Amino acid sequence: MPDLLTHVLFVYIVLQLAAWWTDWLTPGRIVVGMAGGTIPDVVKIKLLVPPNQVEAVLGLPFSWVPLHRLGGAVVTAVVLSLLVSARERRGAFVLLVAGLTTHLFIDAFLASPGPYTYDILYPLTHWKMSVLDYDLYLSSDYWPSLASGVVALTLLGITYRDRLRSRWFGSV
Amino acid sequence: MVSRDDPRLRLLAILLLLGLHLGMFLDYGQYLHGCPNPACFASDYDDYVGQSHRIGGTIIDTDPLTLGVEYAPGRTLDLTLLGMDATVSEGDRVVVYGTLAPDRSMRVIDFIVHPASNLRYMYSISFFALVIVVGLGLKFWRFDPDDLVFRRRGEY
Repeated sequence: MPDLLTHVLFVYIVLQLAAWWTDWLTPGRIVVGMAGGTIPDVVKIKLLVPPNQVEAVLGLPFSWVPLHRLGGAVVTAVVLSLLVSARERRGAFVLLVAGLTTHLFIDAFLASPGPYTYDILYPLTHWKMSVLDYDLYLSSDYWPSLASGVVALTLLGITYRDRLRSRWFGSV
Repeated sequence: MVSRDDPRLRLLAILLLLGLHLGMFLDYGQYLHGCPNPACFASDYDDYVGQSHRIGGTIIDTDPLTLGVEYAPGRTLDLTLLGMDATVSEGDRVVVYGTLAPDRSMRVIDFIVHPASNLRYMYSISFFALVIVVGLGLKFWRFDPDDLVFRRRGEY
């Protein structure tokens, strides 16, 4: 994965642009989309609970990887949407899925040796999406977070320019 | 009529969904245990000579350049990397794609190296992102202890 900040900011950029055309996308709902952008990285639970320790307990092969695949991430999104009030649940689910989908998509463009990426669509297929093998950036590169940060701050400034102007220069 | 905010109903649904998660964790574990994988290479190396694979590990020697691939706790497959023109140090995390060759070596076709300092940056700003999301989440949403749900502030 690129760093989590890039993922979260990318979702913000997409949803903030969409919010210019629809009043439904309030800041509170945009934050839900940003949270969706973090969902696949729940897979980092493997650092706290290594899969081989779980295997030792269960006596069965075990992997956390599905949390970072479409099927597992969508299930996580359903779980999270069930923690939201019924009135907001459907919208929250759509926004969480939007966030996690952009995360998985951005990760497909990571530089990785070999003519393939990873099986994003699991459990539908283990096909490793070779058509997306563009090797655009390393997960440890600085520039994706810096570039998305600049774009996100620009959008933030444009969106809240009137509020910022009145706060800094007083009402005209 | 049962409310869609009923905590018992939602708890039941969440338990079913976690069961679905568990099914996927076990299925994928089974998939990873299927050959080819580093454990298979270690046990029947000669069967895989000539095949091309992606493999990740830690540089454990620079002369000759050797990749240590941990395939089980405390068990490592050591692969001598051939034709890899890169400045790396012991301890660097490397992912290579190449063809397995005799004598536990790999003819490297492509590789990536993650500099340690960049990894520190990645983890730091990832934590920062998490703080932003949680902070904004609490700014725009509140927890309703009566129904055990999060409600958008201003929802009603």
